Amino acid sequence: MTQNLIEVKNLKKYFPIKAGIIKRHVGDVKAVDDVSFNIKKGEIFGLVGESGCGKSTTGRTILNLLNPTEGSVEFDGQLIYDVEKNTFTKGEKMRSLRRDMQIIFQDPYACLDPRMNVGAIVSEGLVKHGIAKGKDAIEKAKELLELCGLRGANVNKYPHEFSGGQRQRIGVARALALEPKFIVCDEPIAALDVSIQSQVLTLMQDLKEKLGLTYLFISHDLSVVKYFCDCIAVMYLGSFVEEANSLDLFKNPVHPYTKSLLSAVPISDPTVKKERIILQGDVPSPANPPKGCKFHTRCPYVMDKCKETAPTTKEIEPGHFVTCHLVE
Amino acid sequence: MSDILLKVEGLRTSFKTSDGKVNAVDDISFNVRKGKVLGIVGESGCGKSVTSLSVMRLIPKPNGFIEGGKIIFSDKDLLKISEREMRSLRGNDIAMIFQEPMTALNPVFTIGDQIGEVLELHENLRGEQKTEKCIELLELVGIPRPEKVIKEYPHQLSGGMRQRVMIAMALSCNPKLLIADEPTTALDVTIQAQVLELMNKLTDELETSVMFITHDLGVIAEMANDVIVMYAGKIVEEGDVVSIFKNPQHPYTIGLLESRPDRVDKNQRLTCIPGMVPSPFDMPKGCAFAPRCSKCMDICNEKMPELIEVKPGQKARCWLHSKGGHKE
Repeated sequence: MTQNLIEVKNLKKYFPIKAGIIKRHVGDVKAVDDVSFNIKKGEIFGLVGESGCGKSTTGRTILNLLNPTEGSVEFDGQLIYDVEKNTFTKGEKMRSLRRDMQIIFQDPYACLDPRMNVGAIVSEGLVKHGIAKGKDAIEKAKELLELCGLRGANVNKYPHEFSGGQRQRIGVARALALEPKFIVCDEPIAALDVSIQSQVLTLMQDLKEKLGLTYLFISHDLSVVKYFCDCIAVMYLGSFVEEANSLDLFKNPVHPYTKSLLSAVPISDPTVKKERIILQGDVPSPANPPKGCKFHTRCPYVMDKCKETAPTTKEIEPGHFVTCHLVE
Repeated sequence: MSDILLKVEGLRTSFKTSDGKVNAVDDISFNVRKGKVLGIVGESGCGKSVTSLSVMRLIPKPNGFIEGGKIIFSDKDLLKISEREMRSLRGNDIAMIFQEPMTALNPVFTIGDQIGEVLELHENLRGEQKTEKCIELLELVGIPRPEKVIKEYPHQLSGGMRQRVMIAMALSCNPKLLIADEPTTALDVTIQAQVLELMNKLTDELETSVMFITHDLGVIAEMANDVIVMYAGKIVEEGDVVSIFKNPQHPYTIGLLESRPDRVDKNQRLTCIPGMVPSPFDMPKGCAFAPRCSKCMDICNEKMPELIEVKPGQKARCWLHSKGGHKE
């Protein structure tokens, strides 16, 4: 049995809504609402869902980049925080933990400082953590760029001189600089062209194998997740509705939301005619989620029970978790 | 010949920039058949959108201009008619749906005003008649409570709803040709499925021809009858949808299809096209795809191949299929 690298328990992240002059607290946007999962060492864990379902917030809260509202996260046997016990890792200790946890952002145009050259961007972490400085740091940056398929001589260039795919490679190089164990990939290929997407995916796969990394891969593109991830969780309005290993999830989706999400993906084969389950309406606002099961307003199989009580999570097969009244 | 609605011949559109002239669209010819969907695929910067803007004669002046070619729409050359005539065609006979439903609608006018404007100008409807027609159109595209929505502003609607409003606006005068420029790229998969189904249904009912521009091969496979693949301002392959997907001839088309993760199994590697699209200022001398092509031959670096018929109804621009190149 392989060890868990990340253990997330009952994680919640609410953003308060304030109104009036005195900024009265009038409600919460429940971006992440009671999420628990484990990521094993060397695994790629996929997080899918529509925009606004809390995927990115989950990723950032795990890294302690956003303050959690409730729950606990353990990383490689060390507690990062536990809100109930009021334990938080802070200061120097957190900083040294951050060496092992990195993030790659979605927008390759916004995540690189336009006033820093590539060498400085990639080696910033090395300098900050006192691992290397001056010439050594730049040498290391060159090595990292080459690892990511860019020329080392690029260290003196600025981000605007690169294309989207190249910028994303710089983002990957920066994340790798501190030799992390775990990387959160927040839609790393969403902003890229099809032929460049496959290049970046292949690079990430090679690096994972070479350096023994673990990824949390956030995406809205199911076909990418299917191919890339070992284990997948489907999120809807801040909660997981289904979690399983990737083969199971695609072969045997159980939750009505997963089913409709899978059927909505266009397949690049004109001879396949498939049955679509088209969901009606839009995702409700997370500030005011529906009572009972959050999906009941769009669910084609809605029952009376769904409108009243929220379903609990059940393990229908080893490792396959579903949160739906239909499986009871 | 009579089943052809739009015939584009030898279209060339260029832009003046501070670094010289750029041929964004270089000698493109295609036909849109009556009641059929023509899909145009390619990566960003390949000239898809410029092609569609040229047909609408909406190329931004004075930097952009159409250098040559013919655009024949029901026996009229759109490049020869006056601006006034063109204006009466736009919206009436040819309508367009844009990519960004967020920016394509005017934020300071209500939905009713914006759809009403089209009806007033082209159908000469006023007052109550206009309001009734607006409500009818919104119902047609499946917007709930249309009486309310016509009084609302774009920011009050979700992305999917806005795109429905755009479709309602485009279809308001029963156009013969609908140009859809990446209509679902900004939407979530479930909403994309809704919008695509709606477009399919309406264009079938109204027998509208569609020019569908996208980079998503999955969407093309589901929507199009005929397909054009563009690369660096030129058509590299064209044919009917089944032959393009089942029997692609050009290495670029083959590469694009192989880099789709939904076509490979879990443990296989994605094949990717190395390199990136050449800069328009620095076009290779021969075939534009030669530097990225795995089957590149000597002649590819020397001369641009012609677009020739490989099989009945399928054309490709590649030396592998032309005289002078060697067949495998």
